Amino acid sequence: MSGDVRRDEGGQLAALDAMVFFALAMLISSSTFAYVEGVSSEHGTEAALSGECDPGQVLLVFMRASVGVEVTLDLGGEVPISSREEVATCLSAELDALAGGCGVDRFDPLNDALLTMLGKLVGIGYSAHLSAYRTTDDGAEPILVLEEAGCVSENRYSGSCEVPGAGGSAYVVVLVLGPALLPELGLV
Amino acid sequence: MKTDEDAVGGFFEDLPVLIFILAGVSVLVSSAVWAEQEIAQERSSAELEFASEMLLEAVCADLFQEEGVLPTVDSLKGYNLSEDALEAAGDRGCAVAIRECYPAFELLSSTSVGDASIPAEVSSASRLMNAIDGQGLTVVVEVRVCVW
Repeated sequence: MSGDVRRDEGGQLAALDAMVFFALAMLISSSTFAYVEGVSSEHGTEAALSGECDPGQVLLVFMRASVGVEVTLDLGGEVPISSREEVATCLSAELDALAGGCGVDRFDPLNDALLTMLGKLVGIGYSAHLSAYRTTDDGAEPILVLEEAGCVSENRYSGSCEVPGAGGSAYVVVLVLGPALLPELGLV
Repeated sequence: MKTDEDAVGGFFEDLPVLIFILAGVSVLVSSAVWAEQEIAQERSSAELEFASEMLLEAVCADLFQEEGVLPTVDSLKGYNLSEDALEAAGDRGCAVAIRECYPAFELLSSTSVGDASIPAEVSSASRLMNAIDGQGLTVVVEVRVCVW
């Protein structure tokens, strides 16, 4: 072997073609990685946030359940609420009173009990935000907002139901669930 | 012994080309194999997820047989997997746990079928339901199923 390697233009072109092929292979490969990874993580997030805790289902069960604790409200006189009272009934009475101009602080014991109850239903992984609206000709007017902690995550899911009020009126109650720990950790 | 200098020079000249081609092909093949495995894994997870949803439906249908009539907490305590539920799980291993979430926090019943020693993958599904306890309260119970 002389070690005298001859070079020609054809050989250089072949090397160039091979480099182009390699670059294309890398491009196709990285596109495949990105696509498959994206599909997997998207599916995982959806399953984790929507599949495990359906807000509509939680709200339905919450409204049908008993309050579970004895609560006494100060509405000019003491008004006891039995632990057997249905949440929907209590909420309907509270919304009627709030719509009539009563201060929300008078219902603090009941609202605290409802928020505690919601927290137990959704678990520590979620943050619950319950709000009630009165529908008017101009749209929906919020009259009650109960929340454990502000949730700024985009991954929020909501469910709603209608609560009948006095005199044929109706209120819309909305439950929004989001991941609980992320805001506290500063990750979102 | 005769040497063919052109052939030797050609070989060394083509070596980088060969390396680039082999590297490109191996990148393509490895990414294709990885993608195939990921997709197969995703499909397997989806099937498992579907099985857990079906099992949950079957268990809830067992527990809440009459529309509008809530079961009692005592009846939930004695729950055993029915034929329909076992059929929904298929030949997979499964477990069902029913617990009261509110106002008490208590495990009401749990049952499992199949070998749960080292499940490679587990899918779970849960649903909140109402039930009547011994004091007449409408409580909240969670039905959770796991399939592997």
